[in-house]
Amino acid sequence: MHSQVATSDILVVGGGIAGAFAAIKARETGADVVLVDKAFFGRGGASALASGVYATYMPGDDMENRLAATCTAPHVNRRLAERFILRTYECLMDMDGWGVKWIKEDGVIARRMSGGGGTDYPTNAMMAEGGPQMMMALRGHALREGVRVINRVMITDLLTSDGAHPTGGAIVGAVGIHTRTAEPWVFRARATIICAGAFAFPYTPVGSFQGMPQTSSGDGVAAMFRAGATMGKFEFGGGGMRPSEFFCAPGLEMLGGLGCRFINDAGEDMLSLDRSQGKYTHEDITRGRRSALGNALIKEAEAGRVVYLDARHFTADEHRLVKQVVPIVVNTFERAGYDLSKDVVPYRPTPPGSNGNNGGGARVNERGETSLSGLYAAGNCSDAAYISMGQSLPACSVTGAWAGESAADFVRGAAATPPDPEQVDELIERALAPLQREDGASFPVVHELFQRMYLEEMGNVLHAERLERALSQAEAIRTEELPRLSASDPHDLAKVNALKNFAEMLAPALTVLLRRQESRGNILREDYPFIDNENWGCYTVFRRRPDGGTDFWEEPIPEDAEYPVARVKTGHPFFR
Amino acid sequence: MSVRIDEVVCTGCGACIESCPTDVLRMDRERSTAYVAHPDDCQVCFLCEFDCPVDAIFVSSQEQRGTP
Repeated sequence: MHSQVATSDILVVGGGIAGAFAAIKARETGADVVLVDKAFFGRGGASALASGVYATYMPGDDMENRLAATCTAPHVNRRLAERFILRTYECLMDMDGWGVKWIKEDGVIARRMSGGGGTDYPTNAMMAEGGPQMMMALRGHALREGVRVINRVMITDLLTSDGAHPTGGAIVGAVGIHTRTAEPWVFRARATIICAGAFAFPYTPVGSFQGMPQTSSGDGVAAMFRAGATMGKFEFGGGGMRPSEFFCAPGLEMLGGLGCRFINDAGEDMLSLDRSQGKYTHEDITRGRRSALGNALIKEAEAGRVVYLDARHFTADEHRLVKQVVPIVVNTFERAGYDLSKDVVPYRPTPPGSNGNNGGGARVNERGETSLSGLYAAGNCSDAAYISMGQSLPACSVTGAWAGESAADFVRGAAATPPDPEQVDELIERALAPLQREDGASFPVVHELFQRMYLEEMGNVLHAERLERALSQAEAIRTEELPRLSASDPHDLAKVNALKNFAEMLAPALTVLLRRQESRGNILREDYPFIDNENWGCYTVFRRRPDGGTDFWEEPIPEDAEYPVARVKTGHPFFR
Repeated sequence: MSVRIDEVVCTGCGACIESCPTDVLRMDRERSTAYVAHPDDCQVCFLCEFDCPVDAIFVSSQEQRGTP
């Protein structure tokens, strides 16, 4: 089969902030780096749509305060958190030097409280022209440094030294397809760094439950799973909120930091109501943990009330700042007829498990190494070594930098292993197969099956019975529909492969949710309405077996990584 | 459809086609203007509008289909 071939020391898959840092840091050591993006490096994925706030440490900040804000759960690696926090400032200054525009006061990057991004961050930097400018600046710097960029090629599988999936050997590159021509591509590399973003429900029709971006279908996550990497943190992803009436990120890092309120349709401040009932405090929500806000939204929705974001009390200067830092969110509001200075905007919760932001990826250590030799992962397709992914942009940039530097170290001593030609052909054939099936299952039909499964079976509050039904439906779709998926053209082929990736990760993701017999954060279990630090201070991890099945097991949090919490069982605030 | 391209203003430079994350846009070779080839895949991110040098694109965020 004729293919384009790209050979490099290091292959970086995905061109968001994690991929940009991985590629640049590897390139700085002199390594030859190819970065491949399913869309256009600087425009694809979630980073270009980011909410414009970089939750960074700055000199003079109180490290203990920062650590406390970062380590809000026993599942955050506290030992590593301090190194992570210090590195965020280095990444901030790197980006400043590379042309990312920040809001500055007297020539110095301004600091402001942000909120809603997972926890309470005392100081943060704000992008002067939002995520779109940040990513184009990173792209420009990567190109100037000599990173070779290949756009519109979707990686479909990883190549292994033994030609097997799952592999007993090492990762030696990847195969992919061009999203406009379906031309096959073969990438040979001594190290591969996957930075392809979160596992999330792909290509959601407008009006459905999931927000931007549509391209994060977990292509990298699924490729690593198929190749045999150990996966983790799937139980803590998902859940959240978005504007009810249109497609948009929630924008809460900025809006929450400025103290937006959420009111219900009776005109009451729902947070005050909740506070009076001892459930959620205003601090929890406007500047606090996003899971608390998500849970409050679920509570209001269950009571039949509509909830609105209210920023009408912001000053004119604050409204101007919001527009500058989160231009996409404000544009979306304005085009839909909402003026934040005059109108309130309806918000609704998104279901748990529907997206893997904040978790769900290959298990990595602090060097970005996965369980497979030659394979690295960073950002939202890794578990980020269990630092807090609530700080999405900082976590993605720092883990990207770590992975880039480690991979560069690795390739200095590694010999290049040529891929197995039989495996190359087999994997490319598999990726192209939907084009040959004329009467198979189409993208919209299978997509609709998943959508119905989410809406009818999952709900916002989970229960073992419903999860088991969802799991059996997911398994039925995977075994019956995926082998029949058909694509009408190369554009459709990329969508179908993305849907397949999502479908393959869904069963393990639901299984992990089912295994976890407690409620925590946004994961609410009607049948286990308590936070169980006695038994569930652990991670569930999984790995594919050679027979196609999946092994799941729990791993205790290493003692030196543990945030000191009492090993007790307490009622989850949602159910109190 | 949530993307509108003003064919009179569009110069056919292709910037929007290059930048669209979900690959919604294509070039009409005869007219030398961009057109919306895959309207269902628009994620309303405004990046094409931001990247258009002549302001020929307007993206709308209002829902085109019913809310479930």
